[in-house]
Amino acid sequence: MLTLEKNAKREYLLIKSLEIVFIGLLIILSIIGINSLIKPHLITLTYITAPYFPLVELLIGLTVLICGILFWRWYRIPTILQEALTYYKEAGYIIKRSLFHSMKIQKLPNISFKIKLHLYNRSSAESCLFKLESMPLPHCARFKSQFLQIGERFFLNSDLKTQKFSTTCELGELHLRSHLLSLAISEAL
Amino acid sequence: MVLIESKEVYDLLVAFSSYTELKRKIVLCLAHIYPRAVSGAQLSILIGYSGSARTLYRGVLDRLKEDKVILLDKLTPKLYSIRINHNQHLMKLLIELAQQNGSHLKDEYESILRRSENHADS
Repeated sequence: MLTLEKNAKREYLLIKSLEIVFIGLLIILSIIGINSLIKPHLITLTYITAPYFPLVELLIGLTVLICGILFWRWYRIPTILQEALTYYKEAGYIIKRSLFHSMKIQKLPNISFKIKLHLYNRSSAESCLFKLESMPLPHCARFKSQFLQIGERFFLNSDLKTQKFSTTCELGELHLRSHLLSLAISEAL
Repeated sequence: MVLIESKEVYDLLVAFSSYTELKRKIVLCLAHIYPRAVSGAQLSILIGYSGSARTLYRGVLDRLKEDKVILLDKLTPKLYSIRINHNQHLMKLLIELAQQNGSHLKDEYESILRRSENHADS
């Protein structure tokens, strides 16, 4: 588990580094672009049109960074976490991946919830936390006390504003907490 | 004596089992010492953790508070008052079970707290 946490933190720092470099390059290019648009006779344009200005290289670098960020943010999930997620397939859930380590888990057409993986949480210095959130349950607004009671029964946070159940858990809690969330959603419907 | 329904006990058991060992220890301890509130440092001692209280604050306690299982009052930027959420239905049941059947464990917790308070005073 300690190896997993260290790896997750390393991946988090890698993603952040890529994003910082990407944003930095984007700012530089934006300044150059805006300067050339507003005052075309500025030295900036002269620099851009100089015999050699690495504009193409910068654009290629940005493209590589975007691809890298998307890969690490979207596709790449540590192996042991992928194993944890296979539980959902075995239990008959349908998984739909989306960007930024988010997944939609569907048990039945009318029962689904979202999982967001946090590789590393800076405020608490914890790795591999999963935020589970139910789909919106708008009719619960009419039965507030029942909505709150269901949340209490399954140790879930019942948010009346967003009309969702939610909880944050660690890897070892994921399966049972997901099961309880599904039960809560089916009781609320 | 309050009549306890088996379904409620089952609900408590399943929900409790979905938690990590640390969370279960925290909640069980707080249920036994109810209505007392403790600080993070005291809680660490009670559950036998030598880690710094801040480790408990930032992660696990926040999540227990988010699930409305405990109440976390920030007295100062570094001092918290932690107690079980006695308004939560299943926590009320746990408190009832602890009070009916957990007098030995409660005495142990209280003696640990007394020793830690004496140690702090001296």
